[in-house]
Amino acid sequence: MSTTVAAPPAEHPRTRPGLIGWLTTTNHKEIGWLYLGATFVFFLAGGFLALLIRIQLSRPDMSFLSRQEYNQIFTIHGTTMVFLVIAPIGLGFANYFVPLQIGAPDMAFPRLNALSVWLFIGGGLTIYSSFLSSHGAASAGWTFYAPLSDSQFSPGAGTDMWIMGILCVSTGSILTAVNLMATVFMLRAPGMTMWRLPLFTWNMLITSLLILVAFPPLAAALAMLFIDRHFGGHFYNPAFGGSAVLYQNLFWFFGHPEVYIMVLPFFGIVTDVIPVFSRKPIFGYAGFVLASMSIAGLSMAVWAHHMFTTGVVDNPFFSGMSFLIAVPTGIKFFNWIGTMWRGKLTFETPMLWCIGFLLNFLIGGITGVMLASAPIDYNMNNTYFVVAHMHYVLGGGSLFAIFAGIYYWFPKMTGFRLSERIGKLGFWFTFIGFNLTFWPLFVVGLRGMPRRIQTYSPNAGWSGPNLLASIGFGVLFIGVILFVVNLIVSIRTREPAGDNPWDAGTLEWATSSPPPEHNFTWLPPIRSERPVFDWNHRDDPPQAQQAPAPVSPGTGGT
Amino acid sequence: MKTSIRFLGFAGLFGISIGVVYWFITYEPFGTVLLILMGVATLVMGYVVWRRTSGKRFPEDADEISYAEDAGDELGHFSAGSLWPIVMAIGVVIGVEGFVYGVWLLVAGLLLFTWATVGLMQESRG
Repeated sequence: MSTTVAAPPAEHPRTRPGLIGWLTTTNHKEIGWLYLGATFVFFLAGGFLALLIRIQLSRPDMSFLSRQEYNQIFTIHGTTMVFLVIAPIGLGFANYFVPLQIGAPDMAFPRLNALSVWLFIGGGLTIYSSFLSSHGAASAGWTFYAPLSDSQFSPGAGTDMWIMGILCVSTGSILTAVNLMATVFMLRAPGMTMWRLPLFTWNMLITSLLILVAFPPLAAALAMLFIDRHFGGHFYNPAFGGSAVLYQNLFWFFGHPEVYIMVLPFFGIVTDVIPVFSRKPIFGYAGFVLASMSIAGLSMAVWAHHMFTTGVVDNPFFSGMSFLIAVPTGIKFFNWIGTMWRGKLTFETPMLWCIGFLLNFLIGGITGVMLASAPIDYNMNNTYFVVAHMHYVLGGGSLFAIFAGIYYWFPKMTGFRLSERIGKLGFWFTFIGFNLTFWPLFVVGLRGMPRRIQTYSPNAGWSGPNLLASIGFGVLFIGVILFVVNLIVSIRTREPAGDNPWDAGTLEWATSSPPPEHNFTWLPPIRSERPVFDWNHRDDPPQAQQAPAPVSPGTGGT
Repeated sequence: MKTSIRFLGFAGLFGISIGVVYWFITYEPFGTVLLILMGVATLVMGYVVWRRTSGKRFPEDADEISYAEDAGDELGHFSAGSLWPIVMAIGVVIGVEGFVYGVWLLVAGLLLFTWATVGLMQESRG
């Protein structure tokens, strides 16, 4: 079953309508929707688990959750947000928008693309179904350190289901990464040189390479863990010549690049959005791309800064490499601020989320530099300071950029806009709620509160900040509810958006909203990184521009 | 395509270089092996892209090109929907559950996986 496409293809009807159509789709946009829909459901589930955590920690000596329940809940909360929400939502956006941004009719391998998304969904459901197993869900923390995760300390099927679920999710991610790289390398429209790629696409290309080199060590670590658990292996058992630190090495060789797998796509989104609402091209395009490459490269050589306190790694090397990452990240801040500098700024909802991203990510980044210093890390290791830092990077950073992307691209994906009024209200609730929740965690971390404890004494000095964090989470929760309300209201009112409501410049805005089956019925000439803006704002049409590409129907499906 | 190959080439050389530097600073074998393998894997990718594209000209790499010059070229074959990816994914998920709950699930998963593989092969030929 295939469609032969001659350049540029035209719309033709979907092969199968309804539920069967969704289950059998190989179209990149529908697969993008599947990714985004599934990650949103997992996000709500992970958010609900966070709510339970904050209720439990709101007061000292609380017994809302038992110790075992608490362990399961923070494990699956972390797993959900890392493996089932933030990393795959980048792949969801990429599935939908990378082909559109480069002028391609689909991803390079559509069937492989469909397999990837179903592996992701199947893996996620496997992890969640482990709550129904005899010992409950996994409870060894999202890092799953051995020997805590071995069969002696973590018996039961829930732990095994976690391992198998993550293996499925990882395989899906690797296949999507292969697909994205092949698509960007081989399916660009004429004139779309690599140095004219939209920066979201550039960052997805770099992220894909990171996935390809980072996920296999995770798969190896988990396979060896499973062998230890069930087949008499001793990879992580020092009593039989194994090494528990081996697991940490393998895990963090994946785990630190994973941080950038969860951040780089959203740097890309922010970098596509800010120029549009600053009415300027991006400041320092090449510098931004090189900074992304530098971050990706350096991120592969810093894994053991998560292991300073093991005492068996070379702390100065990993500390130095970690400090170095601040340089290309700082360059990106100059890119973003330089783009806004003297621009004609407007503050529509996507731009508000981007500014929220900049402020929160700055805090996450600076505390990251602090933790890269081994002496500070020795004091802060395993405290709530690390938890707060991580949430500022992934929640205040990535999640805010995700919302920026949703508000920015929703009109393209659906043909109608989200309400600006509800969107801005939601932003302020989320921004204030987020900072109320996670800033106090820096305070309790500095006061020595360890992460992953189920409750604490009233005399520890942690009660006030924890109560404030739980109240803040309530405000944050209202912000998320407002987003859901916005979706419902906007779907009902269906205010038409037009094809290019933001006057944006990248190629996805050249097609209709929503785009047709194979994306484009015409393409503007591509002479810069924002061809649509060039075309819409051409000063001297006869001299500068050629005619748009004519409609050329595909030959239909078989 | 030069930029794509350079991108992979530099990434590969970076992996090998940092692996060598890491070895002489730490004399720690684990990280050295991983870093060098990362570099080698990326270089292999770059080599494959180079082999597949060397000597060819690609319209997407041209700074100035009109669509008329590229008209008529076939971009490729794009699936218009397929049942087999979801069947294959279900096979994989059921199969890995076999490692947890018993061989019978592994067998069921393998059967589904094989069925889907054959289906995909037939489909791609058709």
